[in-house]
Amino acid sequence: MKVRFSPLLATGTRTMVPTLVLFSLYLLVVGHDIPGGGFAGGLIASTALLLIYLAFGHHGLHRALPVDPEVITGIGLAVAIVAGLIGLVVDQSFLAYAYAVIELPLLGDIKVSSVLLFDVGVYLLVIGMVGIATTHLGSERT
Amino acid sequence: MSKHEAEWRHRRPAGATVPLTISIAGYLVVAVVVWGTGRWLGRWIAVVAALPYIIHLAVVAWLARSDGHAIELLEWIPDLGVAIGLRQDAMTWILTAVVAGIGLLIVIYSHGYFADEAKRASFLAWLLVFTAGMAGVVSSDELFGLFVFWEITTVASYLLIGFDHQKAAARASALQAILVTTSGGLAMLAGFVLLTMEGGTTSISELVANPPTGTATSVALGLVFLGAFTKSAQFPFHFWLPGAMAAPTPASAYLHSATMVKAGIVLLLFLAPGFAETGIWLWTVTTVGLLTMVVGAVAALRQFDLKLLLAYGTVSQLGFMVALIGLGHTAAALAVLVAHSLFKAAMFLIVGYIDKATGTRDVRVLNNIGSRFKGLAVAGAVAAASMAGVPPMLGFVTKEAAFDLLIKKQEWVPLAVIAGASILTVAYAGLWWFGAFGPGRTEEPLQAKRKSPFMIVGPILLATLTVVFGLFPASLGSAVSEATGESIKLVLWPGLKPALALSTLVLASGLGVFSILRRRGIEMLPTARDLHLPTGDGVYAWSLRTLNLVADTATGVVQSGSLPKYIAVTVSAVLFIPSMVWAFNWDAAISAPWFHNPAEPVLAVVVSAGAYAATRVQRRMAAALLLGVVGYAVTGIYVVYSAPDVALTQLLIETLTVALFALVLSKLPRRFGEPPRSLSRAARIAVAAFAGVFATAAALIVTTVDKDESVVAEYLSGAEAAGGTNVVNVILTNFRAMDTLGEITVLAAAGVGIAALVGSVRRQRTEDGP
Repeated sequence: MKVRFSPLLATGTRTMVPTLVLFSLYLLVVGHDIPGGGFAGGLIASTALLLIYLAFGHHGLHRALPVDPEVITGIGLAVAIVAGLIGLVVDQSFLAYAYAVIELPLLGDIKVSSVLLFDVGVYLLVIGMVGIATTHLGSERT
Repeated sequence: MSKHEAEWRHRRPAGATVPLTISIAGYLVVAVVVWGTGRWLGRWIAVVAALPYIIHLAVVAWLARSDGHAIELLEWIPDLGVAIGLRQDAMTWILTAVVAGIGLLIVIYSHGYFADEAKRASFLAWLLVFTAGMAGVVSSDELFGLFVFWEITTVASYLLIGFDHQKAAARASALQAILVTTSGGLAMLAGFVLLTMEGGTTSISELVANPPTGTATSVALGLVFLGAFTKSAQFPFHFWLPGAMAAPTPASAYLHSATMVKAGIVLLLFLAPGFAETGIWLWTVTTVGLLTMVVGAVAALRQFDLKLLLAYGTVSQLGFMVALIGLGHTAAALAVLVAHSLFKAAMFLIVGYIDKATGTRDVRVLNNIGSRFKGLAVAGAVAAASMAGVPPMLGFVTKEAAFDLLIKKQEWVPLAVIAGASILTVAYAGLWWFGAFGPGRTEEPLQAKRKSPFMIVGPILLATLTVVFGLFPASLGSAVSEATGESIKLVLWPGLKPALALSTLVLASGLGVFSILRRRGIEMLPTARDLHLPTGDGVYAWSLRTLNLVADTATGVVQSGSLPKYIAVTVSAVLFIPSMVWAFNWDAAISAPWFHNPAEPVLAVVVSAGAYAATRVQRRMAAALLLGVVGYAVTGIYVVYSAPDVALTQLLIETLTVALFALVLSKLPRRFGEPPRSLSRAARIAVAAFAGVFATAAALIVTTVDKDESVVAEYLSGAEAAGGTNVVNVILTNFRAMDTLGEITVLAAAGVGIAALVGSVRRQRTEDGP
């Protein structure tokens, strides 16, 4: 990726982005039990994208994430609605929820909640939304 | 479950049979098939499209043999009492025979009418959607199910009127039709809600068995009438129907004469057993029907376009049916409905043939078409004779029965009006036939090409049925009697009675009027414009103009374009209204302690200092950063109150906001310009002070209000059941997931807004640029 403004920012971004993305996914997964969730996770991931944008510009962002933010927003909303529809089909009620505890070797008991899919939708939508704001309010697409 | 709802469940018959439901769903399935595979099906598409009509007819014929009167009930939204209920009774059989039978003929006709296969496919797809709606309307027993089917026909009608969407006139007509009919439809929905509340049931059969009374019921009926009258083109809403003639002729024949415009009549027929005795019914329905009958008949005389003539004729005939229902003669009205569907559909299809064959529908241009298309001319003569009430056509038999009833009941005023309008009907029936097939005004011969034989099947068959039912009307008579619960006898030869004398008089006078108009030309009649009468079209255009004017004015006032004003109004409104509600708890708020935790005063100082500094600095970027300081300090307060979720979110939002600010500010001047002039300094200070005081008061009151601990306990136990320990998140994703979904939808909409807004500004710049 071509460095756009400052080598310091570029290096910092390269170091931090993987950690930020990982942390955002962590927040997304654990949100049901400790502080976090789709919204907070999505915001962290957005911060990572914003850093890439500031360090490497529009093209850099596009290379790191070759999907239009509008599309991500749409997918996010669709995923959340699908999560609701699953509840409708399985449990006769839109956005109905359930959870199960699965025992995995090595990892022990893992709790899987149906609302995780809903939260994934929120997560994607927040990323897409901040992406839209960044790419449109930022410098012209050149 | 509410009490009402429990009662509904209790009283509903448990109809577990589904054949009607499946038949109606079949139309929709085939519509999708036709639409999706039209390209591959090619010329076989009409065969596929005809299938659901044949199946529906077969199912109905099979069901009609049993005596059951079950209702197929399909719960949809049980909490709201919304269900789809389809009645298996004589009313459904008769009306379905009309809807599916004529629909089948229309499909056959369309095969010849549309030369272009792609066009034919999309036409048939929408026709099938429409039929599903119409078949649902005529067999519905549930009010809200009926409403849904009703609006399916509205939307399908809109798309079919605007089928030639390249033409501006077609689009305008389609818009007019949908605006008029959906306005009525909305009024009707309100009427249904009122009726349900008054009657305690959503089932039409239960409603008419135990009809509610009183003022609210009268209001409800008035609203339902609005829906029925707009749909069935009753005066003064009749003007959309002539406009709807922009539709392809098979659609006009089917929707705008044989079926859809009958939906209002059908609804009145459904409700009549329970409400026909009430005052509002008798007066409103009868008066409107009689007026419409006369207005339509008069207008039909003055048309050069064969299709418009038929449209006004339809308006008049619909008025006839409405008037009969108003007087309580539902069986006669249903018989007239069947007769009208048969002859009017035939006439429309014939006009469509002539239009395709010669390229015109203007009676001033058409010349001696009858000698070219003899079979069509005979079918046309039969249909026109039925409309005029000439024996032995079905039209004669039904009109005769209506006259007989009116004379027996001594309803002289309606009788006089109907007889008068019937005279005009005879006249325009003659004008139509001679206009279409007779010798023209010019000697100039007209080019006429033979068209597909598929376009002749429908008219011939409909004309045949008109004669057959006219000769043997007894079975139809007993069917309509069973359907409406009102005894009526349909006979070809009623004997020498006053009704027969009246029929003869009407025919003779009608022929007189016809011969005068034929000889001297219909130009001798004045048009509505000549008489300076307000026309429906004029009123419609005026209301649209007024609506736009009001919208423009309101927008001008509300959207001043001044950012400070927007902020002032928003802030005042947001804070003022809730503060008023909370002002009751003022005492507890005043006695609240200064702080709970020593960190609070420190954070308060940081927040205040940041906020004050933000108003004083001259550079935009500095102001944005100072706002960030305020935000981070607020995060500190959340930490102090041990709300880690809110603190985390606030922290992230604050960071992103500052970063996004930085992006935008790079395009703006570094320093603030002159203070805004749209709002004076004093006004700005006043709004700011107001906002500060009310925000403080609101915060104080909210935090000191007595907390209901049971809510907290409920959430905690609920979270456990939902399998989460972070209650905040469980609320967001489990308990109030619908709210969250709403919020993210707003967020997505805002994203689309940003993209569209910035995109349009960029495009403009590119266009304005060099």
